[in-house]
Amino acid sequence: MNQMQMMSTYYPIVASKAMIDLVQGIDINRDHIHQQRKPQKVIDRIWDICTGENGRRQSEINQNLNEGLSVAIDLIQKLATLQSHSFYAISRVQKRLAEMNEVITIAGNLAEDAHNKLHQLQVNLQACLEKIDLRIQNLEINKECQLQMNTVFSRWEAGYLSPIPVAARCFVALQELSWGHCGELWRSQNSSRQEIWLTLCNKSVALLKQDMGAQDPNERFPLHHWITQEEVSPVHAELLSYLGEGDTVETFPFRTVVSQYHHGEENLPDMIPRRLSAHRLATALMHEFFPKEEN
Amino acid sequence: MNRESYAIVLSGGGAKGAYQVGVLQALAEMDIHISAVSGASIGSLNGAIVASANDTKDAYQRLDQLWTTLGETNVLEVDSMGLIHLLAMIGLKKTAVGKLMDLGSSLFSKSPLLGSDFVAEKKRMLENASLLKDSPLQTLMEHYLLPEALAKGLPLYISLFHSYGLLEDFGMGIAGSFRWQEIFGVDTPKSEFMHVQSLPQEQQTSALLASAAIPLFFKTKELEGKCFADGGMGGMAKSQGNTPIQPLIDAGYKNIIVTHLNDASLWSRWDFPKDVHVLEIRPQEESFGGLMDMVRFDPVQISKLKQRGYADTLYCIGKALGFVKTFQKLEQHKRLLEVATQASEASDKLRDQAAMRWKSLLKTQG
Repeated sequence: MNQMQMMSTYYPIVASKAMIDLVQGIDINRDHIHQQRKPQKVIDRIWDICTGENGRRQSEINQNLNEGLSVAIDLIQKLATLQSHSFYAISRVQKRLAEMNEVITIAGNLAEDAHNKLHQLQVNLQACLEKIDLRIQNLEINKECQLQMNTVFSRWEAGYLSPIPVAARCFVALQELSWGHCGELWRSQNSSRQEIWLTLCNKSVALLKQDMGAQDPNERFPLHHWITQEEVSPVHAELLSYLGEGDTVETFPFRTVVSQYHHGEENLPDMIPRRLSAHRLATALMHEFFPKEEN
Repeated sequence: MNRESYAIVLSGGGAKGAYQVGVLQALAEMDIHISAVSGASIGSLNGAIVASANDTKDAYQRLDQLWTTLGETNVLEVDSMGLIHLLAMIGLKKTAVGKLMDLGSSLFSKSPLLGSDFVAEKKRMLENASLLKDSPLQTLMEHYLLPEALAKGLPLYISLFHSYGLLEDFGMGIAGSFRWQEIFGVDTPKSEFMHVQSLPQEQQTSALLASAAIPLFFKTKELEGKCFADGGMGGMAKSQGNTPIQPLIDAGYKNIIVTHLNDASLWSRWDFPKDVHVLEIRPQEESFGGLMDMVRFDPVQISKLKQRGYADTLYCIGKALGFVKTFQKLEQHKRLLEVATQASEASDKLRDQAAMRWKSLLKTQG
């Protein structure tokens, strides 16, 4: 039994009869007092002495007053109890409010914490998604690059570039690859760009070695074996010149020699070795088409 | 339906009974249901209308109509033959002083015990003598009171005074009015109470008219071999007959409205059991007037009394019930608070548990 229930048990509200008697007692007394206040003549006084009517009236007033006071005191006591009841209830509400404030504060902190964590999770997820996206992009570029390499090198391997000198074949292949997906991949910050470079270089070395009939990638051949061929049609010669247009000995010495000196060795730049291996030629062309220092 | 239900006591007071029309009007407005009626004198005639009505509003409307007619028609028609009888009766005595002495001796010796032939003869002679005819009143009652409705209506109790003969009755009436009983410690004999619906239907109107038969003015009525006069004359010292609450208390009614038709009535609420809730309607401002106002059936007076009855009822009943209702609301709100407190204890526990969990969660997370 809590304090409130205890108070209710001990102090029930005043009975309605008592309250009616209190209120009505006032009205009844007013009626009697009104009668008492009427002007009294001598005959009225004598009459009153004989009948005792005023005495009875006064007695009635007194009883109403007495009963009324008794009820009033009872009511005051009950109201005081109810007042205390109300104060207790208010104090409980106050206490509960304080407790609620504390709980709300805790919940607020928790919510803020959860919000921050969620935000962090969102950032992390975004980063992960970006990485995944980049990885997917890289995979796609790698795949495209691989496909392009296969296409270009298989065309070379199949002999479609046979009408032009051996070095020019490598020049044409690398030129095409540098414009396409491989060049794109090389220019990007892709993590596999180094592997791509090596793959391109190795494949070029292998095909150069194969076309020259060399036993070894480092087996050297005179320069003109690499850059000239007995019958280069004017169309192919023109194509090579077109591809090498803009290249100079100062900027791209190997690309210039391969594309523009396929008729002979006259006036060859001094910086170009006169004997070259497949490895040396492929590496030199690779450095000019896919320069590492750019990145 | 949770309506306020009260039995009502309609006191006697002749023409002042118009006040009770206003009382009924106010009760109807306050939606107070009447469960039983008890009346004396004019109160019993009004009570018969109330008892046979469908509800409080209907009772008010019927009473209002009746009292409007009472104001417009002459109900106080002088009975010439009755007057002659009275004069003859007075002539039988030697002097007026002798008559009063005879009257006094009849009163103080408790006249029912006299039993002499002379008194019996005198009583017989004057039994039906009166100043006024009761036929206009009877016609009105027959017009407004439906016996079938009364039979099915609310329980109606009336007070009747056992008549000892006109002059004795009149003398006792005068004695009661002047309160001689207080000087000599005697009182008029107590009135009897009758449950109207228990009477044979042919006697009901007579019983009602008997209850309103003011000695000298109206004839007494014979019921079951006894003569009865105005019920308001019994137990005058404490208005036992004129404010007939006792039959309602005896029938078990606990909530009773009492209307008074005289100034500063010495009827006391403290004379009745403590478990009976009594709501009195007393005049709040003007005086009810003297004895002559009991026979003033003029429209202006009737209208004024109706308004006073209405205003006094709204004031007295409204104030008392309003006070009680305020405390009932307080009680109701206290109970609601207790229920809410109990309910909140469970939610407090849940809140505390949640708070504990959250606190430990916050600690864990640093």
